[in-house]
Amino acid sequence: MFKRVLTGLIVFTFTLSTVAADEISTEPSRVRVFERSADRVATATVRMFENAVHVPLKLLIDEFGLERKRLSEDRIGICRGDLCIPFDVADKDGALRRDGKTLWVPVVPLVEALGGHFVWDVEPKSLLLDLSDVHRAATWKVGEPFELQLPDLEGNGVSVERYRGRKVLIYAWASW
Amino acid sequence: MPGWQQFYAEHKGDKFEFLSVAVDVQGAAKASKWHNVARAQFTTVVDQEAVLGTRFGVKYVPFSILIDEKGKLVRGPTPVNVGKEDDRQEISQWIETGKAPTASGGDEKGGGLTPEQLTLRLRLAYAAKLQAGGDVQGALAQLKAARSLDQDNWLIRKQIWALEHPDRFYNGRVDFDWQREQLRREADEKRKAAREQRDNNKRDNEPREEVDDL
Repeated sequence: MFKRVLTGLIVFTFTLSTVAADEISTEPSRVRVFERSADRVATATVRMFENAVHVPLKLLIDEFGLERKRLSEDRIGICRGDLCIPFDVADKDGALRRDGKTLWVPVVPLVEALGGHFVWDVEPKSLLLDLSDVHRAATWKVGEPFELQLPDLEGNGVSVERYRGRKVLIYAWASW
Repeated sequence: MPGWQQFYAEHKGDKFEFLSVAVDVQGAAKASKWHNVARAQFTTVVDQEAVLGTRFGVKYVPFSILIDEKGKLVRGPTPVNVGKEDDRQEISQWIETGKAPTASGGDEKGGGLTPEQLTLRLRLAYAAKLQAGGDVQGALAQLKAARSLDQDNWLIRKQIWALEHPDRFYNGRVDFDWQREQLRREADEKRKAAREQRDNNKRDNEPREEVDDL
């Protein structure tokens, strides 16, 4: 799915397995990368290999909390907790590309395997990533367990679980 | 909020708890003011990414959610007005007898979030991050991109207003007359844009005289 959205700036949104080949320069470019689950923004180099967006493995590990596991001579696992996504290190589609000391990770297969989501903005060039398992987070249903954790006004995490044993009315409101 | 504080004071104890969720990209600073004005004794948490509304598929606030003693969802998002006797009674009765109130609102469809909802959530999270870092323009760009995915989402539309026109929101009181005006202005702009689009299309489709290129 490829979508062009005009909102005063030009924004390209693309979800899994989509590549806007002609819209991204094949030259490496510096972009802002935001990752939702780590709540971090970093400036990083992204580059294209055969029209697919790649980011440095180091970025995912240093900034966004993923881990690497060496599986064999030419196979590396990129892991979030117990979940490890194996990648070949090779000069082919969907693999980790080596360029000098840098290992480049293809964004689409990584995000797809982790169950995450991403958005690419052309102006200003930014990559928005969600490397958590967002697809498993289904909607809540009546009669089923409900859990929610959010920070209070001082920034301390509050979980609804702490009210177990009492009925709870949750009231969502806004100052505006 | 003062109404809920009173309700809370009357019902709190080992049977009942009240949790207020402030939905605001701008975070705790804006929310705490209203919490303090109400002299609230209940807990207020901040939902910067509108997680609650997004996961239920609800595009408005305020709404309420009821959870039972076992932590199970009793009733999904439902508008409730603490100023109305009927609404208060319904909740009181539920607390005392466990009789679940009627009308379950919200989107009951299961199966996770759509790609649009995921993009929406990602943009809201990024907007919150940018706003926290002082980049209001960047935050607005993300919110506007989010709005284009979901035109009738009030959560986003009003956040944009609050960032673009803080004087209408944080100058002592929320200016609801201005909001009605703003809504009219936006509707006018939309109609105008649609009209221009139509005119352009018409012009493009009109037969043109053949002109010899000399």
